[in-house]
Amino acid sequence: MSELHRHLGLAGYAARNLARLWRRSLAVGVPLALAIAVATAATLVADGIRQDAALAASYAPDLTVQRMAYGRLSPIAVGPFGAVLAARPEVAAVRPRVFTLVPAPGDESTGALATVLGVDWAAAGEAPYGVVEGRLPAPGETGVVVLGRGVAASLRPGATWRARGPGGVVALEVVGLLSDAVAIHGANLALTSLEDARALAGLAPDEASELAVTLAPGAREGSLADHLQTQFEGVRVVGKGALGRILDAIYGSRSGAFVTVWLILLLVSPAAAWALGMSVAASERHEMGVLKALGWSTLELVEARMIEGGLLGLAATLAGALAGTLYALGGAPGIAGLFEGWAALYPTFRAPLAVDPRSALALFAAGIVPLLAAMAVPAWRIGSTPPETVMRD
Amino acid sequence: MPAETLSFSSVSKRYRGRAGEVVVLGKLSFALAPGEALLLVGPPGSGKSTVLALAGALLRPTSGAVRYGERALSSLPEHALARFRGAEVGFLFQGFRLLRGWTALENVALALVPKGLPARERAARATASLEALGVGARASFRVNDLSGGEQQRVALARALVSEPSLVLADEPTSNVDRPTAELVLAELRRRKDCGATVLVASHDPALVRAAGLCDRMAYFEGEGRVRVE
Repeated sequence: MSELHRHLGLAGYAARNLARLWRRSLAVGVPLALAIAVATAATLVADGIRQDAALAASYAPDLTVQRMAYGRLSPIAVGPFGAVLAARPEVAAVRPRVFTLVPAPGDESTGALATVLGVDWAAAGEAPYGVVEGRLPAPGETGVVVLGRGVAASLRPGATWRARGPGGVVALEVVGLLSDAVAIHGANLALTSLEDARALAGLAPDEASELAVTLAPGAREGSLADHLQTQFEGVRVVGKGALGRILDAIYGSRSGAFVTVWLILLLVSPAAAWALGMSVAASERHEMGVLKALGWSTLELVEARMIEGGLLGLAATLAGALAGTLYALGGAPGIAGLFEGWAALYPTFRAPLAVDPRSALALFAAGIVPLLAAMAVPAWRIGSTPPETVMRD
Repeated sequence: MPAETLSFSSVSKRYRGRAGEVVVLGKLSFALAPGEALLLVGPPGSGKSTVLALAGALLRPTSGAVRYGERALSSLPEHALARFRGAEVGFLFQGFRLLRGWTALENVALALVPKGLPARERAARATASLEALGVGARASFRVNDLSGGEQQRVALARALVSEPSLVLADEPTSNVDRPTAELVLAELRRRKDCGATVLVASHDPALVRAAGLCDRMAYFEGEGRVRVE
């Protein structure tokens, strides 16, 4: 027990010292808290976007077959490709999909875009989209659209949206609003029939933007993708797994680069702690001499200093994490756009916040460990103050 | 803790400076039994404080041996010396040596941290020590806001809070008013009467003698020469 109370006594001294020398504490703690706040907000937003992107990728078909020409997506002929695909034993179903970017409803001067996705509502596999208001289109129904809530702006079921795409203007009746279960869908998607999407995209009746392939049970996406890419020139096949990995890599590296650059700023705090610790005032050295005369050992003085660093790092990291969370809850203005990429073009995209336990652990480690490391040498230096210092004026 | 015999055996202390070697203390020998008090008398800079620092294990001698009972202080490792100071020694420094910015209570309680006492007990003991010296009402005051006499009482409370068996006082009556000086000397005498060994350095021995505190005298004659009677 007495050992525990001794350590608690040292911690009490350290805490009191932090409060007493508040200017020094602020000089180290404030930059640390600020850096942690931004890094926390960035991590929350980035992890949220990655999680949302992963969820969006889970809606993707097993395989997406596209045609490339001169490095760009080119319309794919549904008949010939569809027939080849349908003949393969690995394939359970093939569905054409048409997509195009159009100005979102509302003020076009904002440049906000919506992705119109034309799907075959009669086919299985297009059901996962849920609505919070209204309904999904019936199989074969044309002239109607289901909008993401963010895309819809002021439009509600029953309203008419005059969508303007590369192929012309198409009047669509809004019949439902998509749920925000996947934020990027709610902010970006407009679901309509294949026919209406083709009219907007300017595609011929037998053309599609891509083919969505559902694999037969037990079939491997790799072997079919290899077969298609060797059989057809200019075909790109994207597997569901690969899509998830691509999205994770895009948003992961984007946030990773930002957080890494930002965390470099964290070095300001350890550097300040080092500088303040190494430039010991005579009064402070004197104080160490007094404590040694009272029976404090070098190790106890070092421990007290390290506890000071730990408490300061913990307090600054907690304060920074709290401020960063509030900032993220407020939409993280100024940094959210860095992680959203294309999503920044969407009308009201608001990434859900999420935190990966590993990210949280890394943030706390980044806040505390460098500070403790920077304080070790100065702590030892001041802890080694000779006890006779107390006798000197 | 019961006091033990403090002994100096041919203890010398020399410093090497730019102007060459300075002998502060040359081959000092004496022994002080528990309950004895030694008054160190001499002009400033004659080595009185050095003897106190050697006795309190703040310094190691250049040669010779300082012993406290069976313990050879000259050869103990640093952490053992720290434990010795915390357990056995009570220092009353010239100029108080209180921690600025800390309260009187905190200054006294800090001496009890290495003992591993619970915070409540540290505070209770420190409060009792301050009250015994008439500054209990100043416990929550920062020492910067106390008068010189009050600071000396707080410093004495800190020196005695762990009931040391060896009390070392460096110029305890300088820079304080007469009532405070008399109170300090009376308290030191009380400790001596309880069996503690007491060393008092003073360049104004009349007051100390008048208090009947010291049994023996050590005269510091300069250049390291000391005569103990």
